[in-house]
Amino acid sequence: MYRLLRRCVVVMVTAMIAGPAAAHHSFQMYDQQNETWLEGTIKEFQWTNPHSFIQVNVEQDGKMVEWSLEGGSPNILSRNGWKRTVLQPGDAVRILIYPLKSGEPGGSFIEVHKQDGTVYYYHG
Amino acid sequence: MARCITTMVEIRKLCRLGLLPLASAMIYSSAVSAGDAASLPADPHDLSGVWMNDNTLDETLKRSGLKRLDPKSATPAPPAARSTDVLTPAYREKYDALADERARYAEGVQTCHWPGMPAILSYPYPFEILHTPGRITMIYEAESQVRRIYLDRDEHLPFDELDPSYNGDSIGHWEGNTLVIDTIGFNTHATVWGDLPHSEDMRIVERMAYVDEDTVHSEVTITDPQAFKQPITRTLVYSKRPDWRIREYSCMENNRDAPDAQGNRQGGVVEQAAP
Repeated sequence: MYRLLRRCVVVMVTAMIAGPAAAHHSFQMYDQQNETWLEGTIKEFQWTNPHSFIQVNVEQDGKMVEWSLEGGSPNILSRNGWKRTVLQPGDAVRILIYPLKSGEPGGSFIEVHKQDGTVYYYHG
Repeated sequence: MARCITTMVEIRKLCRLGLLPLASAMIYSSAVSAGDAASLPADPHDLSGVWMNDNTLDETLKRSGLKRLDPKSATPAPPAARSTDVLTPAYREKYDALADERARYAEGVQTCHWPGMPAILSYPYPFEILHTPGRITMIYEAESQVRRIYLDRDEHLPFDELDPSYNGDSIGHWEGNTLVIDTIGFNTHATVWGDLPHSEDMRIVERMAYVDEDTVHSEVTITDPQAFKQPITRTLVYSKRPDWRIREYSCMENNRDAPDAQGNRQGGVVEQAAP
C-alpha cells in the first residue's frame, strides 16, 4: 500500500513540476535512465550560480580522471541542508550521478556520501 | 462556518498535494474567495515577509518526503498553461522561429537572461515583500529583480514614459482582502510560461489574497490581443518562510552551460584529465 501511495505521489509530483524543474537550465544532456556510482576525491566544489559543480578526481584504468558534476544552485542546495564548506579538497566521496549521455567524464550529482557517513542530497 | 473551514482544509490539502487545478476549482465553487476570516492573519493587508512558490520541484519533493523524482516514470504531459493552442497564427509563427533558434544550440545549452514577467512569479526562488507608504515592493532572489507596485496612483505611466521593460509598470489597489496588481509596459525579451512569445501589449493582472495565516494565492490572468486568442490563467501558491533569508542569485556568475560562438556548450566537462 505504501509503495502504491509513493508511486502515486511520484506521478503527481512529476506531472506538476515539469515546468519549475527547468526554470533555468535543462539537464537533458544527462542520462537519467542510467544512474552510476563514482568513487573519488574532491578537487574543487564550485558553490556558484546558476549551478554548482563538484570537480572530483576518479581513478580509472590506472590513471586519474577529473569528473565535473553539475547540481543545483547554492540557493537551492543551502535550503536542502548544504553549506559551501561541506565538501573540501581531498575529501573522499562516493557520489551517485546521472552521467553525460556523451560518455565524457561528467554528469549531474544526485547524492554525495562522505567518509564520516554524512549524505548530501541535491533535492528534497 | 464549519463547512467553510472544512472546505479550506480540503483546498489546502489539495494545494499541498500539488493539485492546484482541483484546489482552484474548489475555491471558485465555494463562497470563500479569500480565506475564512478565522484562518486569516490579523492584518490580511500585510503581505510583508519572505515568500516561496509552493510548487517548485524541491518544495514539492520535500513535502512528499522524496529526494528525487522517479527517473523511470513516464514523461509528464505539459501543463495546460504551456499549450501553444492559445497562440494567434502570427505568434505561432514566432514560437516556431524561437524553437528553431534554440535547436541550433547543443543539448542542454542555456543562455542567461532576466526571467521577466510572468516567469519571475513562478521561479524556484523566494521573494520578499516590503510595505512602504503608497507602495508595495517585491524583491526577488532570482537575478535580484525588483518589482515596485504603486498603490498611490490609479493610472499607468503615459505612453511616452512607459519604456518597455522586463517587469513592466505595476499599479495596485485593494478589493476587500485581495491585492489587485495590474501590469503593462513589457518588452518582448522574455516569454510567457512554456516559451510562448508575446507582444508589448501584454497585460498581467494578479489577484493576491491570504487563504490562511501563512499562505497566499495569486490568480494570474495574462491577456495579449496580438499574441493570445484567449486569456492565460494560472493560480500560484506562496508560503511564508519567516526563517529564510534572501540570498544572491546571478546566472552570470558561473554559467558553464552558456553557448560559445559556434553554439556549442562551453563548460560542464573538463577535457584535460589530471595527471
